[in-house]
Amino acid sequence: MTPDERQRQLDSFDHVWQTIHDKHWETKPGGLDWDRVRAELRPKAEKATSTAEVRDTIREMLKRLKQSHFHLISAEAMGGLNDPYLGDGQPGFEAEVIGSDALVTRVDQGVAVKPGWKIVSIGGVGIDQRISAVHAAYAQSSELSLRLHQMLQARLSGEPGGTLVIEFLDGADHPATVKLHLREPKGKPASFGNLPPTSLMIESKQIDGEIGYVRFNLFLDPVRLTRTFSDAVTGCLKCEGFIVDVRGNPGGIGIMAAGIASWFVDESGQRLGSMYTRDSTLNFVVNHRPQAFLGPLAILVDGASASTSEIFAGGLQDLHRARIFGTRTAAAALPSVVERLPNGDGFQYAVANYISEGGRPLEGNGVQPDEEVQMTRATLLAGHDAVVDAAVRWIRTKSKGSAKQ
Amino acid sequence: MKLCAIVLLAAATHLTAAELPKAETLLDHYVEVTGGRAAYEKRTTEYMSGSIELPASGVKGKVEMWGATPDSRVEMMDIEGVGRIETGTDGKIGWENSAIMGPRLQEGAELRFHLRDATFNEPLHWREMYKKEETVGVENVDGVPCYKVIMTPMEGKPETWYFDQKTDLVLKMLRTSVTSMGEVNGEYLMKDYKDSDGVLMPTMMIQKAAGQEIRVKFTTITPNAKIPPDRFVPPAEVKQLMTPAPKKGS
Repeated sequence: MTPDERQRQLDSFDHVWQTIHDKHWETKPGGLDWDRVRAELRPKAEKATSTAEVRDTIREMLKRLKQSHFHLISAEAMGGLNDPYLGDGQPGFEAEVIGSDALVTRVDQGVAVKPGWKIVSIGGVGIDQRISAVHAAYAQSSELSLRLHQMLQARLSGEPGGTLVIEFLDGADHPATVKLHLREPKGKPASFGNLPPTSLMIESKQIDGEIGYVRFNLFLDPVRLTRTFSDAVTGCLKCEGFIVDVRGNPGGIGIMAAGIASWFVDESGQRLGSMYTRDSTLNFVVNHRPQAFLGPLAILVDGASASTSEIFAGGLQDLHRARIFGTRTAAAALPSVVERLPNGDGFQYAVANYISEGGRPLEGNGVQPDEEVQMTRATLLAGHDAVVDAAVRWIRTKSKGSAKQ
Repeated sequence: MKLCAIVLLAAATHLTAAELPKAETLLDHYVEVTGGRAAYEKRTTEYMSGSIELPASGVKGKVEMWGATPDSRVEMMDIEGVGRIETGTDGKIGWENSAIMGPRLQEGAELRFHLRDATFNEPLHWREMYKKEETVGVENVDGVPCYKVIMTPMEGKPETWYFDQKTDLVLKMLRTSVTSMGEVNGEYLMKDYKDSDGVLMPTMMIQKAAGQEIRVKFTTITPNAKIPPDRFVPPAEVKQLMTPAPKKGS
C-alpha cells in the first residue's frame, strides 16, 4: 500500500469505530468495552500490509458485535451493484427474483407478457449476471432477498414514455423479445419529508365477496390508506376473513404499522413491539378502532417486505392475531444506513434496535411465516398466486371450523 | 417543543449550595421578568399559530393551539404527508385523533401528564404543580451561564430547568413526557422571547427526543382570543369511544 492508501484504510477503520461509538443504540455496543476493542484492533490495522488485511480487521471488529446489519461491503462489490432507479416509469408488469430466476408475477391488462415468464435480459443486459453480482455481495447478509428485489426493480425502471426491450422465456421456454412502453406509475403521488416523491399503490377488493383483501406498496399517506382500510373493513365486517398483502412493501412511516393494526384488534393498549434508541424506548401501541375486523386475518410477506411491514406482520404474529404467509421478510426492520468509507468500501450499520412483542429482534432475523409459501414458475404459469391461495384456503378452513361449532 | 443540538458545557463554577439562589426565588423572578402576576391573570384565553418542522427528515407542517383557563387546551398539527394530528383536553378528559392512529382517549399517567401540561398561565402555578424544587448548580446553555434547578412534580419524573443568570428567563428544560408510546426523555430549548400583551413568551421551541429534532415557531399569539364554545369539546370520533360498549351477553 502507498502511504496515501494506508491512511485511507486507517481512516476507514476509524470511521467505522467512531460511528458505532457515537450512534449505536447501546452505550456499550454489543455489551463490549468499545474503547478496548479499538485499543486492541487499531494496531492490527496499522500493521496491515494490504487492503484485504485492513478489511479483515474491520470485519473482525464488526463481528464482535454479534449483531446483524453491521457489514463491510468491498468497493468492488459496491461498484458492481450500481443499479440506480432511472425513473418512475413501469413496464406494465411486476417481477420478482424467485430462486435464481427473475419471474413475472403480475401483469397489467393489455400487456403482451404473462405471469411465470422468465426474464432473460433487460435492455441488453443479462439478468443472471446482475443476480450473481448481488448474490456475491450479500451472500452472508440477511438482506439478500431485499437487495435482489431492489436490483430487479431498478433494472425495470425508466422514464414514463420511454421504452424497454426485454427478453423472456415464455411458458413453453421459447424466447420472446418484447418492446414495452414504460407507463406512468400506478397509484397516486405520495411524499413524506426528504423521501423522494413516490407513488402509493393501493389495491382493495373482496375475493369471491367473502374475503377482504388490501395490498399496498408503501406505508405512506396515512389519510388515503386509512380511508381505504376504513372502507374495506367496514364493508367486510361479516367476511370470512381478511388478507393484508405487504409483499414487496419496503415500509415507510413506522408508526403506521400500529395504525393499520388497529383495524384488526379488539382492545386498545396491545403492543406490536418496542424500538430502542440510546435515550428512549418507543412502544408501538395499537388502539382499537370502533369498527374493527375481528375474524381470521392473513398477512402476506416476502423477502422485500421490510421495516414497517415487518413491524406490522411480526407484531400481529406475536399477538397471535394474524397468520403469516409467504417467505421470510427482509430482516431490515431498523433504520440502517450504508455509508461510503474513505477507502471506497461500503459500511452498513443500524442506529436503533427493534424488539417485537414476543421478545425477538426483527433486525437480521425477519418475520418467519407461519406458513412458508413460495411462488413458483409453474404456479404462476397456471395463473395462480400460491401465497394468496394458501391464505384463502386457511381462512376457509377456519370459517368451516367456526360454522361446525 | 424539542431539543436542539445544544452543546451543554459544565461551567467552571465554585458556587456552593449556600451561594446559589433558591429555586423558589428563581421561579418567582421568572413570573416577574415575564410580565408579573397581574399581566398573566389578565389572560383567560389564548390562540397561537405557527410552523412545525423536523429538519433532519424534511417534514413540515402548521400548528395551531387554543388554550383557556384553568386547563383546557387543543393542539392541531397539519403535517405534510401525514395529515392532521389533534390532541386536546377540557380539563377532565384527554384525547388524540389522527389519520395514523385514529381516535383515542387518554388514560392513567398519560392523561394526568396531559392535564398538568395544559395548565393555563403555567408559570403562576408552579407551587401547585411541583412538590420540590432545588437549585443544584450552574451550567451553560449555548454558552449562556444558567442556574440549574431540579423540579420534582407532584407526579412523574423530576425535571431540570435552566434559568439564565442574567435575565432569569428559562432557556432550557429536560423533562420526561408520558405519551401513548411510553415515557420519552426530551430536551427543550426556549428561544426568541417576545412580548404578548405584557407577557414575555418564548416563540420558538426546539425539542430533541428519541433521536428526532422538532422545531416549533409561533408567529401569531393572540391573548384573550374569542374561542368558539365547542373548541374544547372532543371530536365526534372521540365521543364515540366515550359511549360505554354494551356488556357481553346483554
